[in-house]
Amino acid sequence: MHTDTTVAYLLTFLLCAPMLFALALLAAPGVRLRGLLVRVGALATGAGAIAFAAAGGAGAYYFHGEIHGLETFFFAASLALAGVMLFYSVKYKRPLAIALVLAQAALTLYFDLACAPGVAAESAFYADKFSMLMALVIGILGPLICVYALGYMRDFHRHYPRLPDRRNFFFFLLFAFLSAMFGIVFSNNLAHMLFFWEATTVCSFLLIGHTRTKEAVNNAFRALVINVSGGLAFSLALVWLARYYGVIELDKMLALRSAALVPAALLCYAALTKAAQFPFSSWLLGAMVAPTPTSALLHSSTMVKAGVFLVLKMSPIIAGTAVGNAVALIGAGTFLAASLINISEPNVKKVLAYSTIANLGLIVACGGVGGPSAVWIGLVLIVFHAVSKSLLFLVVGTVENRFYTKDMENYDNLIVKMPVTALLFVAGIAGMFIAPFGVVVSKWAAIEAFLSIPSVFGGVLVIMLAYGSGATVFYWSKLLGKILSMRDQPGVEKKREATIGNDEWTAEWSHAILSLVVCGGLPLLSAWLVEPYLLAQYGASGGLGAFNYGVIIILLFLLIALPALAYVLHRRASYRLSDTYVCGRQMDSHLLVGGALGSWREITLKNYYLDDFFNSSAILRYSNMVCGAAIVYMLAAGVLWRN
Amino acid sequence: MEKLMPALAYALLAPLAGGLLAGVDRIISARMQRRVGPPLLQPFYDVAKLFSKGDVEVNGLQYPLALCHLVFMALAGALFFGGGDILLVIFVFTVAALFLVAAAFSSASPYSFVGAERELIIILAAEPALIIAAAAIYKAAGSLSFLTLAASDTPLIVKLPGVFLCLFYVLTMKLRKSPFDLSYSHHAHQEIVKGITTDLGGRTLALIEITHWYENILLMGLVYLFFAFSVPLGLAAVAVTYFLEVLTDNTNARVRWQLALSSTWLITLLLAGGNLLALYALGGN
Repeated sequence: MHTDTTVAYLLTFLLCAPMLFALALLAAPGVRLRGLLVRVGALATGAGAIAFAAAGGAGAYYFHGEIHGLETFFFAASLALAGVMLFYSVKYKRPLAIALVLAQAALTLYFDLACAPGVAAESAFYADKFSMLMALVIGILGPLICVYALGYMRDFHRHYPRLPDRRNFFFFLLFAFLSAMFGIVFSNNLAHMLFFWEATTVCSFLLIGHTRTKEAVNNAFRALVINVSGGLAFSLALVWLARYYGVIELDKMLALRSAALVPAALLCYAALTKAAQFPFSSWLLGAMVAPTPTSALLHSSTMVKAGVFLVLKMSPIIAGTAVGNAVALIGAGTFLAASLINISEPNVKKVLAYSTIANLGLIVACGGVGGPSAVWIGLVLIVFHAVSKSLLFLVVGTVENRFYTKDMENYDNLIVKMPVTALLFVAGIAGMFIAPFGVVVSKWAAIEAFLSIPSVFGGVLVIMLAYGSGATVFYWSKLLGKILSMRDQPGVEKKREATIGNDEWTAEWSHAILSLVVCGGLPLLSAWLVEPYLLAQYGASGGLGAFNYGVIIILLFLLIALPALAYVLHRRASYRLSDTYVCGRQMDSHLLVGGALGSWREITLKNYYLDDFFNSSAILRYSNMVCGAAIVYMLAAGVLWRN
Repeated sequence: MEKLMPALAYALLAPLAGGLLAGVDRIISARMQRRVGPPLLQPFYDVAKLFSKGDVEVNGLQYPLALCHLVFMALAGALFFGGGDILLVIFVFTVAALFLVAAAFSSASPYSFVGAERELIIILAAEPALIIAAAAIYKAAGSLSFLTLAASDTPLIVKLPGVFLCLFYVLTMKLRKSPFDLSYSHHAHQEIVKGITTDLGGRTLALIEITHWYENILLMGLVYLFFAFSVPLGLAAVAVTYFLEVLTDNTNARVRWQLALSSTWLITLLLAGGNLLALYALGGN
């Protein structure tokens, strides 16, 4: 078969298959059929994504030709989405949400009826190396999270028997989300992309509000309001493009270069809301109320990654302009502030959330800076962050379903209580901040990319990155230390891991292996998908050079082999175990210390949070102010700079 | 090959040089305190004695972690002297430090735990300075390889005076000297025993000592870079810097972590950050 046709078939498959499985899951009666559908759907989507990325030869594919009824379908579907949002906004009496949804619907109608008919759209869908990379992230991690959710949701409902069991709808949303994400990365027609964009907003809104508790509903509406405001900016960008340039397609918009600065700035606004950059971060923190698979999905392969995808796509237009600088400042500022906030954050899930926001900030900063070496970092960091963060959420979900705690202080002794889970946890954390795993490699490359910026602004970015990096090491090490601290408590039930189902193990181990594969295979991944995209886009490519790749692979091997080997050999060696030192006092291994008059006191050890220094509410307030001002500046600069 | 030789030389000779440096350090310190001090080779005798001790441990994790601490520190140094990217060296250096922190965390002792937390504060304080220093070196000289930088005749110290002063400040932490010996020091008067190494003994502690020798030589290599345009001047600068660190150690009481952290971050921002921005403003390379 011709490559073009194969790619077109696989693209259609990826767009439709998850949605079909979603619909089947909505209707599926019984737990066993649901389990079967989720597993088959996950396998099909994963296989489709891999085949799709493998089928693509060099270059990009643009699929021309009229698809009968496509426009009508999108028009009807957009109205349906607006209807869903309006229904819930009215039901829960949220005036702001109602106003925004109505404004958005009105603008979309105006666009569809007044602007779109005059504009010729040649190709609705496309596939380039970047969208293939995204397809791999969405199509491999997303389905694994769905499989994990099978086990997780069973335990979840066992623990909260009062909550209504709406698992069919939950799994429907998970799979529909994947289709919508594929839609965003394959749409060349920006009007279609807007539909998929809104679809992810609606899916995340419904997922966050899944339990329908008061907190869940409030946080769902916060997410809705912030994301619809982004959708509104997206619609404005469409109207602007159609009215002033007669353009509605992504490739034609990119061809306009800096002439399209205003719509690019508007799209960046939309992207920053989805990527939860300051001052829009609150919705992603609020999303924590949802069951953990939702967080895993929102933080890794979907939603926030749509935001950074769009920023990186806009990068050729905005780089080097005031808009690009503003975007870079927002990204770097978010990286720094979110990392500092995490120093005083005891809630593990919030630590994961702020770390996501920080990493997205780094990607956004790279998009704002632009150029092949910075965009290279953006692309590889999307992959690295997705794998490690998804793994972390899955592991935290597993722990949470057994200990019902989110406080970091309760994670000590995990290495004794749940050794395999603790090992996976360590693998996830290592992926986030230990050299030579991907996130650190990206930071390293980012510093070198910022150093090549000629203006003083580059130096400011380097300094922000340096301080953020220090904070990152601190907060992850603290958590790592908690997990690794050993207490040989006699009362500890060691069989807890036996209750973890195969679905969860499969998903978690796949993630852990993937995190090694993407790190060790970085040169291959880069040569296969990232560098061809950059060559096509910029005529040059980024990367680290062969010598550094070699060092990375050796380090990676040592980092895994050495502790394992040392541990195994040491277990065979003979040594005498003794009690820990408490200044000559008697202490047994489960932290009881002999006090005065024959009493025994328990020792509790708590981490430093340095909250006098890193007052999170103050950092949040100031960074929201600075980044908010930068957003105003970005939009104003778009208007003033256009020619 | 020309990269492998210096790396191998470091791996083999750094413990020797580091041990001698520690011996000199102890003699100078003793003279400053009007004592005679131990023989030059005392650090080697100490480590040999530690290796001969019986094997007593509090858990099965600490020895393997200490071993990784040693190997990764040696690796960071070998990468540095072998001409690897200095930014990568800094990241590997941090990984090595984290193995020690993990070893301390794994014990249940409160002293060990507090030592680990304090070591993390030291890392938090020093990390921005190290990264900005590497960035500034690249901006000033266009390279991040020790071999290239050592061979060039660019006087880095002239372009990077602020960065060097900041590095001197941070060196006090990394060399475990007062006033910043929060987690680990060589003095007997430490208020919480020896913090991070409380539960490490015998051959585990011996590994930590040897790692420290590796670490010191790596840090002196970094100091040397700033004066590398002239070999005698470079060596003299290393000697003077180390002497000043010992002097600081013996004339200062330990400060609280709040002051250690805030002062380091401020000095990093003003001296190193200011120096970096000045390089940008002047056009850099």
